[in-house]
Amino acid sequence: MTAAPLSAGLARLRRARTRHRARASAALALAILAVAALTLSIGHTVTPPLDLLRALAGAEVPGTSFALHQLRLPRAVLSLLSGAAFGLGGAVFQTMLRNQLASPDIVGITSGAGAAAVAGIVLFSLSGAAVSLLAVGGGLGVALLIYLLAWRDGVAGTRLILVGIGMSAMLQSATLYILSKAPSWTLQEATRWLAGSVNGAQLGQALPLLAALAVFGTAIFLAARDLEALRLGDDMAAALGVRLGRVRLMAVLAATGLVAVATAMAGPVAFVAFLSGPVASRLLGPGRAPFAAAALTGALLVLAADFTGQVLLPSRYPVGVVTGLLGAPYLVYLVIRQNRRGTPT
Amino acid sequence: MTAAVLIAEHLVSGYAGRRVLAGLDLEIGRGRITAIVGANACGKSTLLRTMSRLIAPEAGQVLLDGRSVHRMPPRALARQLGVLPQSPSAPEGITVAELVGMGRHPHQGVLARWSRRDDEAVAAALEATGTAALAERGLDELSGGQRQRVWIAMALAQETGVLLLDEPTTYLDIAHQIEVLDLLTDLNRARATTIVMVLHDLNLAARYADRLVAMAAGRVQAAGPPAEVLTAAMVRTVFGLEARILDDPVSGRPMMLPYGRHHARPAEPAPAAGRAATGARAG
Repeated sequence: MTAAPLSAGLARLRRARTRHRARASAALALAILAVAALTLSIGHTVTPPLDLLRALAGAEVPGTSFALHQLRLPRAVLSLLSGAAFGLGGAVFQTMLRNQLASPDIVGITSGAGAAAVAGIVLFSLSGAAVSLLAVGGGLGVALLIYLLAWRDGVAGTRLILVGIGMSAMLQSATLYILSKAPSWTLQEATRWLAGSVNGAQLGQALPLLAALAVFGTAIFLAARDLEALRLGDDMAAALGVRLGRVRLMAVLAATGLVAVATAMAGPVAFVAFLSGPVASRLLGPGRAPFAAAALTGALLVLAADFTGQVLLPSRYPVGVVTGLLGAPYLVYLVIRQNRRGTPT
Repeated sequence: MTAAVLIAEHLVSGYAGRRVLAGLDLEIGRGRITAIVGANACGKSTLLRTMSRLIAPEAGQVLLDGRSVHRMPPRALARQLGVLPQSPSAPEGITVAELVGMGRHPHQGVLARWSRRDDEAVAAALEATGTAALAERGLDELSGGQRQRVWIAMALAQETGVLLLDEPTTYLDIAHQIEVLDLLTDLNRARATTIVMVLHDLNLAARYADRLVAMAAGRVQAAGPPAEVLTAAMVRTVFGLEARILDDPVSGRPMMLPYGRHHARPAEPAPAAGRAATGARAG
């Protein structure tokens, strides 16, 4: 074979893969639309599609408009945006550290946000925006602490994961300790928040999430090719001209920002950050890191899990309970598999 | 001799307080194959990593065509100098074509689309390494020797004039070791690529290198054509091993046979008697 037909063949192969990835992403987007339509139509009552469209367009439909605009729409929007933020943030961590266990909900970043928020709710009787700010601060603080503790001649993935898991355990005991001292009127608020829930969602909560997705999402988009190269290991990435320190710091800040803001708005919805990347990667094929698709997967996961918790199960559960049920077996599977192979995936 | 393309000047380097290179000077000839040999922990890998900017030196500098590699923009450097680290890792499930394509990274901008030029470079790299037939295969399906050729193909797709390799033959059986070293020689001859590699096997190093660099304790002990460098005296100083040097009947290069405490023929006089020196090919 000569080089000219070979390069044409390679180009065809590459285009076929790009098309496959585009189709998979489009399918995810369609699934999101479908589940969103279900979420918007079904609640205490079932809204016919035509009424739903009219109410969405702004028309006053008796018996529908209130439920839609006050309850279902904010709920769907919050699910969608927080899911996307969790999914994208998780995929960035997993790609950068070349290990699916390195997701922010495993290495203690969500626990940090959770502990800070619970402390705010219980100890200082805070609510609303103040709790959210505390959660973001807690998440960022823990991320930086783990980064510093795991730093030795650069950040090694395994060390960071172990430090993070330890940190996560400490923060969870701290959270439990605070809860055990909590008076009953804050206890309920705190536990509801900790379960991860889009109950009582308001459209105003979409703004910080949209801002986070716009700012941090852009940063990740710009760093995406360098993060791709990091999948080959730090040395190889550096050999390809990646500025390791800069890319890593930017990725940690952006991903932590996304996850912390999402946690602040919806609570630490279990395992969404952890699951989205691997699921998206399975859908797209292994050739590329699945950033946009992980955001879509996260959005779909939270939407579908909340719909399941509200409508499909016999009694109503917060979304975090459903995603927790999905994520826990996968975590066990992953730990066993990594243990068998002796190498991180 | 052709001019030096890569120069290490008074290099002091190491890791977190542990100094490995203690003021090392070295010149790498353009278009040559240089093999770096030495005992474990003598600083071979550290030298390679410092020359390729993977670690910053405490003092001294590395010049690539007269420019300090530690001051060059990383991407510009990555277009001129390729590095294949020891046992690199690849994402699970990645195909050969995708991995080799990663070598195009320094040639593509943040938003740049994949170009025809990139496809051609990848195709040429696959052709040169004999891996074109594997393009659609997953890297995890390949044998060790095939995999190493794919990694070399990736470094080739980077299209650099200089290629540094850290023990490119580790974990390979002897047939695959020869295959990889032959491939590197082909590249050196066909593309005039300057090749610098750390090798463990002295005999293979002597056979394949134009220039042998023997290191000990963070310094260059000897550097020059294999016939001048691979001597019994050098093996003794660098490895603390008595050895006999013969002419390799296959290649005509020097070849080293170590004495151990066992298995020498009774007729063979004790190495300490200075017999080893008679095998030396000084100058």
